[in-house]
Amino acid sequence: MQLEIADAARQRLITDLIAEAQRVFTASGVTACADGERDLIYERYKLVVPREKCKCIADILNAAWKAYRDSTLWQDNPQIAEKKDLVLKELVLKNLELFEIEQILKEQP
Amino acid sequence: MILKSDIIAKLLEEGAQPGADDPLVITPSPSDLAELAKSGAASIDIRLGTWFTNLRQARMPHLAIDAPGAQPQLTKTHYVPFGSEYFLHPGNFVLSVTLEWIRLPRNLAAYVIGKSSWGRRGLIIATATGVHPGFKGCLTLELSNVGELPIAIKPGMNICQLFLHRVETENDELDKSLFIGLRRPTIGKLQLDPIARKLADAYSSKAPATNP
Repeated sequence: MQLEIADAARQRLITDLIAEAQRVFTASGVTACADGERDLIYERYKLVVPREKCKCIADILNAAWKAYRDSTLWQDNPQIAEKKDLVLKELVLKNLELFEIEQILKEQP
Repeated sequence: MILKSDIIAKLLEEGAQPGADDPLVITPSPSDLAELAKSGAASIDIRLGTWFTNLRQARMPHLAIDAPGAQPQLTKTHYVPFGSEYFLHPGNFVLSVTLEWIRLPRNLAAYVIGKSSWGRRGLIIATATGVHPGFKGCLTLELSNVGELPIAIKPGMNICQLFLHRVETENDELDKSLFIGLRRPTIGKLQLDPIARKLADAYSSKAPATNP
């Protein structure tokens, strides 16, 4: 009975909660992640290069997960494919460093 | 044929476009490609990264070829953040790395060359300078101070230059370097090639047990 009440209450509140969370998120100025940006980064990872001018760290991490789960990544280059996890880790960390450098340069033109 | 800065700038601009198939990438890229194009240079400046690797002299009496298991003890890697300095003392040697992640297409090779302004102060940048077509990653730099004063070097500063050359080839084979895809300096392994191994094995059985 108590669970049913809780479920009903959650069902009524959930839409408002999502809307409120979205409003707070938008008002804070934080850049939202986007599938399109993630895919652009992933396309660069296929070339074994970090992407410049990323919008947010979440896009980089989402692209990294997409690359990690792609079993065909770098198959045309066996030498890199055989140490995929190491190279991907290095590539993502370099991308995060690049993102940080761009942020510093943006703040100090 | 060495590429001049206007061609390098053009290739970098093309390489940054989505859909580029086999691009030249040097990232972080120069802040102003138009300025690079007009520089008239036949190279592109490269910056010092934030990782340094020392040899631990006290751990081993000498460097040996084919020393299994010795590599992890041989080096120690340090992170030096932007704004800090690394002091390279006279006679000392350290491995570092470029700040830039570099990707060479199949038709380009490169040479890493020191900058004369540093060379005149005793800082030697690299001794193994060739970069093969298909290379991807940060370049390991071999820094040594042959001057008489300690040198304070800072991550992010211009430290060397990259000369890019066109490569003629009739196949698609890529560089099989072990150093591809890394962002920190690496010392790699020393191994005898098969011929040197056969020669060594043949003579070691005839050699006296100890040196005279």
